[in-house]
Amino acid sequence: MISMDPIYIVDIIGSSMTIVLSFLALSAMRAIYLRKRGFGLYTYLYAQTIALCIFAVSRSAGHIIKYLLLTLGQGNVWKAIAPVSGSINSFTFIIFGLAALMYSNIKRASDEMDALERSERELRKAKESVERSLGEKHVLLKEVHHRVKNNMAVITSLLDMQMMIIEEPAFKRVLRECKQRVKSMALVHEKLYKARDFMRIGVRDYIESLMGDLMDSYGNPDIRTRIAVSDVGLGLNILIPLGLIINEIVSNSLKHAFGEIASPEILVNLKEEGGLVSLEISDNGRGLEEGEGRDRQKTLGVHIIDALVGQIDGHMEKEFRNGLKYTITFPLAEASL
Amino acid sequence: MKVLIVEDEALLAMSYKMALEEGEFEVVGIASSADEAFRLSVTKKPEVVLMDITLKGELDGIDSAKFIRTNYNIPIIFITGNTDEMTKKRALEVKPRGYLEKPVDCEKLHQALCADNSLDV
Repeated sequence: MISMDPIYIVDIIGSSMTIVLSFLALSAMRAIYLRKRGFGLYTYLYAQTIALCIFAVSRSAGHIIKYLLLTLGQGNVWKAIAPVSGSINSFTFIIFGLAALMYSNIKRASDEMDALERSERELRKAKESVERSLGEKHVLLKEVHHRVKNNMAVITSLLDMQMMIIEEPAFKRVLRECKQRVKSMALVHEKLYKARDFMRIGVRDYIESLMGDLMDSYGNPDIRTRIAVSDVGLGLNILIPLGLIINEIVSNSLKHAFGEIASPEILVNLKEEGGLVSLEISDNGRGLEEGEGRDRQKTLGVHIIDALVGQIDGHMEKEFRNGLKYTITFPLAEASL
Repeated sequence: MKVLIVEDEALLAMSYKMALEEGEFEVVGIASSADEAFRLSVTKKPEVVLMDITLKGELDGIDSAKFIRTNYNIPIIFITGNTDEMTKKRALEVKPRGYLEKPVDCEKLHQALCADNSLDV
């Protein structure tokens, strides 16, 4: 009787090779599928390859088990399980199928996780780079405002020195007015230098400081100031002209309004409603009729006020009742540097 | 009163000098760096030092003021453009006689020099 062992061995080797080749084919097909993911044909071919691979593997596994048992002289065992070998094949097919499905899902989830982590890393890097660049710009802008403020301090010092040398009171007065104008602008840069947000500065803090400065420069301690300012945020484009307008009106009141008036008072109100800012500055002084040079002749201060009200697209009204009252309304414009 | 001005901006130093000489003050020197300020503190023996915070060289005005206060016991008045809170806090730790923010008026300068108490932190 011819020994069947060589045939069994060849069949086992053949079945093993079928398993190996199936996996090689599957991995090649998977690579093609991943590269051409958008095409339906490749998805179909990939699914077919998975099915064929599972079928080949389960069939080959069945063969290997059968011939291993026969080669090892365990024919009885094979005889016992032969009637259910079809079921074993089907069972193996299902197990392999499920394993392949599970592997495919796990692999996909792992790929997606990798991609997610990669994009998260890139996002974090981009965010850090933007934050660094923003920080550098903030420092640079802060330094610019500091420089501007210091340069303005040098200008006021030059005017101070000139005032000390000049004898004529009229020239001294003109220089003091110029100095106060520069100071009102320097104050904006000082507030910006201290601010976290360079686009908008709280107008209340600015007006309170400016009024303090004006009182120091021109005021006498008998003059009372009342300031009621909503904390509106204004940009440099509005605050510089607004500061100069307040400077002109208030210094005009301080210089000309009061004389012998009892309980002299200057009121500054500012509020914002519906995108419109309203600024009221009034005094209880002598008013226009009796005031010396108060607006009657067109002084430089009046020209400055008219020009700057126009610059901020504003509208100005003057009222002469128990003193002088200016009402200036202007739109809350978009802040710019 | 003998005053030493420590200021690296020549025009500002000159304007302080003129403002002080308008009053009853004698400016004994102008320094633009910490080293110069230490040297003049020893040789000119000022009674008060007007100190800017930003100076030429490695040491700033606060460090220089600390050194002058500790070693020569001369009162300090800071005049500064650095008005941020951190700088102010550091400066006040030196217990200066005054802390003025630029631009400084002649009157404010005279008032600060005449005050005789130190500012607390």
